[in-house]
Amino acid sequence: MQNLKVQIVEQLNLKDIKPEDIGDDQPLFVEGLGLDSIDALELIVLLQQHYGLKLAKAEDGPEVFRSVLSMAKYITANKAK
Amino acid sequence: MTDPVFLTGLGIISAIGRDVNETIDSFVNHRSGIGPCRNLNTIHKDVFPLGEVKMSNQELASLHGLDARLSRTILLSYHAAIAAKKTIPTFKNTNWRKGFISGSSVGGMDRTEFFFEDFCSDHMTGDLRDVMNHDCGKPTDFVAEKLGFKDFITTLSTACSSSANSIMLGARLIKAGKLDLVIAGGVDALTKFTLNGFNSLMIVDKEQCRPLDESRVGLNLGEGAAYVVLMSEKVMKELNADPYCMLSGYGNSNDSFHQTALSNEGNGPFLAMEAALDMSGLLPTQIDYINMHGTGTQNNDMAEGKAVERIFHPHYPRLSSTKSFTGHTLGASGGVEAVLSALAIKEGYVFPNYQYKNPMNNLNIVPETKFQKGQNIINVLSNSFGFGGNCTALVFSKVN
Amino acid sequence: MTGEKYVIKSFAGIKNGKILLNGIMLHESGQLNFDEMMDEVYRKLNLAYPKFHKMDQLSKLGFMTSEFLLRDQKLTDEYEADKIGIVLSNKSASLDTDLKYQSMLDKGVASPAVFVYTLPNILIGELCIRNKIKGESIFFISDRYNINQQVDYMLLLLNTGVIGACIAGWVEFIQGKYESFLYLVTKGDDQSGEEFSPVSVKKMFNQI
Repeated sequence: MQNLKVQIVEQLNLKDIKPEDIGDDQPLFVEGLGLDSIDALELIVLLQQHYGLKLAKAEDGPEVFRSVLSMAKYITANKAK
Repeated sequence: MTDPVFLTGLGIISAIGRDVNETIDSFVNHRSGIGPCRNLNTIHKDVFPLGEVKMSNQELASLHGLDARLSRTILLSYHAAIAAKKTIPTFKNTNWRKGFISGSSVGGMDRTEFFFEDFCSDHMTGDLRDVMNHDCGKPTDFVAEKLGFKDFITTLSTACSSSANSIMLGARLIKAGKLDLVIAGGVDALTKFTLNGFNSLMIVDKEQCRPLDESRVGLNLGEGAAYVVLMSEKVMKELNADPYCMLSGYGNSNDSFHQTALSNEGNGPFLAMEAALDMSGLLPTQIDYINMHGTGTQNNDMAEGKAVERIFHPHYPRLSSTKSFTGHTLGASGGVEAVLSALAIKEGYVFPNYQYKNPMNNLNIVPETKFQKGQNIINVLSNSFGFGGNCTALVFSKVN
Repeated sequence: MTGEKYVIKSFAGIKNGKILLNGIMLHESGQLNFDEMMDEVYRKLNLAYPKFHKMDQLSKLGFMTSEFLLRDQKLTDEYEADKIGIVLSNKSASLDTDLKYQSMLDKGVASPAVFVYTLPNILIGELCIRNKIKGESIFFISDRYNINQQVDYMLLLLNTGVIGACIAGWVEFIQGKYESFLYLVTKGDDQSGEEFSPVSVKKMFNQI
């Protein structure tokens, strides 16, 4: 997950934030990180670029990207396929 | 209302026709121009329907005696602009100052895409002629030169409100006594750049779009060009030109919320429409038809619907999104819809949505579903909202 | 309205590693490149505006210039949001970001965050969001900075009461080369600022 945090910070240009400052289960989109809809789309690109995963439905986004932990779980679950 | 500016001519090319007759014919026969991709060479060829102009670059070039290697943007722009120019009665007055104002988001980028592929694989290949006309302003300069409209030439780039803003600027310059005749509007050609970009924002529909419908999922991209001829009353009388209508009001404001999404309350659209109505001196109840920006995205249609509700509730005029026929022509959309608005007034047309089933939740916005003619259309409101929060509204009115 | 007087309240610019406000150099970045310079100034100003890092270079350039321009002005206190306008122009539109986006596309990546900035007027959007401005805005593209045309257009808007104040200028960024010039025009008399005219705008532009 540390890797994932580094990737997130890079992909989203979160210069004010250090990867280690992001809590594993910290909500990504409500408060704290100040992410918006474009960031959500960038996370979809991140999944594709780094993990070869394509989010099947945009509606799944909010759940998958809720926190770093939920993202990691999604990656583990789907990468095995 | 301050001195009106008269719209005496127009030219248009889009997915639904290469001129006014073909365009109207598409509405009469309820034929959308959106369909499988034929012209654009993209990996998304079989995925996204597009509103392509049904003419190849070669055909456009041959028609006008131009070089087929020119940017498609130039070819489309020239086609529509020259059609508009032809409507101006011949005149001998060489003192009249003539302006050409064109809006575009893509410029000559379509040719650059050809260049880039070759260039990337081998830096010694790629024809530099392909990039000469890349700049946003190049198509404008080229066409202005051919039109002989050289006293004032400018290019506007405010995304999807570009050509509506061109028309606003043209009107202002005439009212200020700085120009006598203006051809204003805009153009955009389809490119892989824009298709991939809009797709990355996940606002493109894999099927025919459904603007203003609750089940909508996104827009269909289109291409085209459209220009109107504007003149002052004095020039119009001297030329004995027969106006389609007058531009009686306009407004522009910034939604100031997000780079690519509108605020929930539709503040930018609301302010723009309010300003345009204010200038025209009309009450909302006097608007007979609204040509909505209506792209078919969840965000736009909801925000625009909210803004329309804020102004018009409970007396909603007839309204529709013609993007369901033409696709979203980006920089050209304001011009395309201005042309349709002028035709609505002159011929009494009311344009429909191509398809519509489910009313948007919590909004009283119900578009027309059938094309009508011979209606008494006196005042039309046309909306164009661009990324960057740039919102423009134009009001056109019948001349007494 | 016609007869009303307009003044230039402030002007700012960024060029050659220097940031100037009203003719006075407030920052110099020496040998740093543009991105490094922007980072340095961001930290120095303690901006706490994370969205800044997501902007493309054209928007960063214009945004940073406006932060200095509006620093000592109470613009939204004195004018209604929808009476403040923005009139900008440049030569290259968003070409620099367009090229960046295109090269990413060629590697098979369509980045939405980069695509968003492939339009010059997104810069205007950023200024509006930051400063809560809702008035008219427009972005002209031309080979060279046409001050006469810009001033003419602004007077049109000011004299007809469409706006009461305006941020205007020239913001150009292409392949590492940058030049920005912004000025703020409001109603006023001789006491409150330099008279708004092409001559004074040109004079200020030459100081950048």
